[in-house]
Amino acid sequence: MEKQNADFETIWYELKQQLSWHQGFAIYFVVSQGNKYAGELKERLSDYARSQVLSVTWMQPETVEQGIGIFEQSLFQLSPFEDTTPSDKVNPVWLTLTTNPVDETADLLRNQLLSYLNKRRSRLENRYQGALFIELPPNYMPHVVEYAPDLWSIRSKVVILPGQQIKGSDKDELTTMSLPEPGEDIDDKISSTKQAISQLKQKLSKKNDGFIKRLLATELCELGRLYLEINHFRAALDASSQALSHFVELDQIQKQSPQSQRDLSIIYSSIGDIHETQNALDDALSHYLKSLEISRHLCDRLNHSLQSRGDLASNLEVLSNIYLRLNDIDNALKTAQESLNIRKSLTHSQVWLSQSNTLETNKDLSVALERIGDIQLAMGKVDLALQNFKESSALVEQNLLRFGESQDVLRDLAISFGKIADVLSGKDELDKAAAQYQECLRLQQQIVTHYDSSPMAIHDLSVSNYKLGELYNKQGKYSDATSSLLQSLSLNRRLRDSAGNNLRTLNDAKVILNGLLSVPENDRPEFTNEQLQQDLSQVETQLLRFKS
Amino acid sequence: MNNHSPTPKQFYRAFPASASVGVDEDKYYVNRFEQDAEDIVQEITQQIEWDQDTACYLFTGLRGAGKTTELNRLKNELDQQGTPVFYMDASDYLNLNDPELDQSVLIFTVLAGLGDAIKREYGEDLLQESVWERFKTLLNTEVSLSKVKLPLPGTKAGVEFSLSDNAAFKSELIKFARQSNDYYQQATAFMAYLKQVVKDKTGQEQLVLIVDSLERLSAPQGSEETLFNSLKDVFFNNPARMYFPECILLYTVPPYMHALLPDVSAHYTRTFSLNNFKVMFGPHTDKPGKPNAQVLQKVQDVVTKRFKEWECFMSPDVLQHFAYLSGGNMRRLFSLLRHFISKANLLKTAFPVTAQDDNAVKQAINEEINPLLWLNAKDRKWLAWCDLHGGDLAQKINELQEDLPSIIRLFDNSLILNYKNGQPWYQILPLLKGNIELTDYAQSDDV
Repeated sequence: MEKQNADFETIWYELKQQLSWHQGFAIYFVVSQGNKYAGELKERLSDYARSQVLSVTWMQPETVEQGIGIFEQSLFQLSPFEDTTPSDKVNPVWLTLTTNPVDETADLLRNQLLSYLNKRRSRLENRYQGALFIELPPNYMPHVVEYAPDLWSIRSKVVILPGQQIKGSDKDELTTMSLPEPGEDIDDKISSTKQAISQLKQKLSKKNDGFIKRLLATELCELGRLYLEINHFRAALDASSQALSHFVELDQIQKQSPQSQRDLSIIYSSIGDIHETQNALDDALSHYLKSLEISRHLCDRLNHSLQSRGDLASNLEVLSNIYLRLNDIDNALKTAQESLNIRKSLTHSQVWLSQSNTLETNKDLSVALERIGDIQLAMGKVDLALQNFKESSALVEQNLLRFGESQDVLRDLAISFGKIADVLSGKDELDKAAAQYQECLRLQQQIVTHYDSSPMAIHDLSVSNYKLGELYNKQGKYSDATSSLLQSLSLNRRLRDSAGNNLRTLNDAKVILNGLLSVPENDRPEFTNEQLQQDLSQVETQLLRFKS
Repeated sequence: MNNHSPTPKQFYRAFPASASVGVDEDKYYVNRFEQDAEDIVQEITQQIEWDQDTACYLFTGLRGAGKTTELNRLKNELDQQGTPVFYMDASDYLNLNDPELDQSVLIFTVLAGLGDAIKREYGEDLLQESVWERFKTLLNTEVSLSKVKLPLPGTKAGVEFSLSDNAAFKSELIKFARQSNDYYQQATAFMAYLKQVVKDKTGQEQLVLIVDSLERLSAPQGSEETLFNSLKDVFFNNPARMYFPECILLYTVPPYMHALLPDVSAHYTRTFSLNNFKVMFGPHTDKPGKPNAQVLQKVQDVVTKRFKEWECFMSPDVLQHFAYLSGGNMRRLFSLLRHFISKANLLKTAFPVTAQDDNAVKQAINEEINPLLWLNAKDRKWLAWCDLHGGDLAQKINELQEDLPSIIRLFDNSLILNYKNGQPWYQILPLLKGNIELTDYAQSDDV
């Protein structure tokens, strides 16, 4: 989030500079998802205008007539035949057209107002000597040139505000393990989501409104996700199935609008996630395929817009993972390759985008490269895999250099180093592998110290210590091996103490203890085999209890 | 410019987003042709002189190619010769994004525009009657006209009525024109009246009217075919109606019109095409696509005329890099220069910037290609095809309905640029190369 603020600051400074430099009429298209950055930009603009003894005229018309009326009154009703020589001192105008970003009725309003302004281009240039901001949703941008070609051709700038992350797989690849967030938080979230669902159901029973129905479906989808986090599979599937039926209904009512189609694609993918976590891989596959089909169709309909291509790539990545788990290597590689191509093309066509988008795009591309690497590794193509991991790592390093240190970038980089180390270790290039693991550990330690001491971060640190310990053991550096493995065990204990035992932490403990046992007893004076065997036996007993 | 060092802000302001009507263009003018003897304004002026009384010209060029600049020069040139010349902006009267344009409406617009231009030139009271009054009486309509009172810069007179604000009146005009040939006779008669007024005032036989902005005729998605039919109706089906006896008219027309209606020129006295600065060599030369140093120097001269201290901010090498990437399209170049100075100032870059791969240069280019993300697959196919083949676009249009939107969009955005060495040829904007995916679309000859 800190980095996105930095991007926003860059955008604002540039815009402010242009405002102070520009003379006469200027038109700015603001691409916004109506999120907090749009609000922040408006506040900045308002402050700036005040400093210039001006005030911004805000417009958010609900109908075409209202919009035209406001423009006619505020911009075109200057006293007739007055002198219109350029001046620096004209109130800026901000026209918000982001309401219901993927709604056809709202699109009609956007079409008609832009068309109205377009036909008044000459009048705007001649009569209005200020800055006109038109705020539009990203998915509408391809239409601007159709409805306002003249205004588009004389635009001063397209301001692309930092947006929400494109929906997609944000699962981390360090291990297949993932730790739940602390129980209390999840419980609170489930409780408040249930409350919201109950209220929305009440509202819906009074008025069968599409907007409320969509909110309800979205909350149900969120509830499903929350249940999945705490492994309540049946409840997760129940909530998500309810969401699906609402989304299907909305899709029929809205005649397969882009929004309803996108919702459907997401819910199918979410249901696929639930099945996948339960290891019902065929069911997961069939849902992911449905999601992909909709996503492809939408991508074509939306003229391969940025978001639709990003969505498609995400769908392909999820599918690639499941194929890999099903050991269908051909399809895994095929889908991963397609996704990688999209990611590459996105990076290519987005070099101009705002920093946060570039950062995200680089990140997505690096993940896609890692995925290909994983598949190649499964195919035994170790060198090719290593090449892709290195390429992926270079992208993340690029992010670090360009955008500075952040938790996400450090984490991505740590993952990359870890993967490279895994391959090098497999190739018996042990010194090189050790250097990569050490680098990975250094970054993870940095994350835990400065950014995040959550169970997930501590788990990552524990895993890396274990891997390094195993490597040292292989190299015969038993003292170092013991030290790393003990560090791993200590972190694992910290996790079990703070969040309680669970299947995963106990499994980890078992693996680490076995690792320690494989170090010659004489080289680890702190623990005898007997002590370790006792610990191991305790862990296995607890594990059995959990499994039963 | 004073004695102080030039500031980035001054540089920024020297390169506006659009040209202004009525500006003294000679101050900034640089002939874009390789041979200085070639000058489109001189060509038109000579043609007007030779045609004497009745003629009708089409004038085409991409957005940002410099049409307004050349038309300003033409008006100044004719003014200096003492030829009565009037300028009107069709967008003051019409919604140019409305694909349904009727020829009768355009003719009415011409009369209204000329009437207003005469009033601006010689005073409000010179005309006894306006075309609005004449046709309101003729139509015997109850429709009341709503005023817009649109002044024009630097004048006291302006446009009082527009057809886009008087839809009911417009539809009555169309209805009447379709029912009776009387409409066109009355239009001719009113033009003769205007001509006489000008003749009485100036003693000159000639009258020249420049009808600007029609090149902006465009259509929202899905209405491209309607627009095509409108263009056919207005310029192709009854071209004789676009002429008025003893008047010389010059209509600006959309740059894609000749790609869609290649034979349209045959019906007009002459077609003038304003091409971009030919910053690259053409397809039939020994260096196709390579930078043309002679013309790049001319572009540099344009920049010098607008801001003579530009070398304080960038080296000639960097400027020529921008000039080449702009494809010789002045609006695009100015936009790149504005982005550059803005980025460089924010990056606290040491001036002058001398490297083409300087961060400010790269960021300026990124900013300019930013909107191209929204090009769809069909647009990209056309671009890929043009990139490979250039040449005549009309011959590649298979399905009008399917191909029109892309053709219109690409011309509208000056992404396909037109040049001429003997035959016209097309090239994609050099800025696109390497910055937007076209390779996937270039496999087939079919668009």
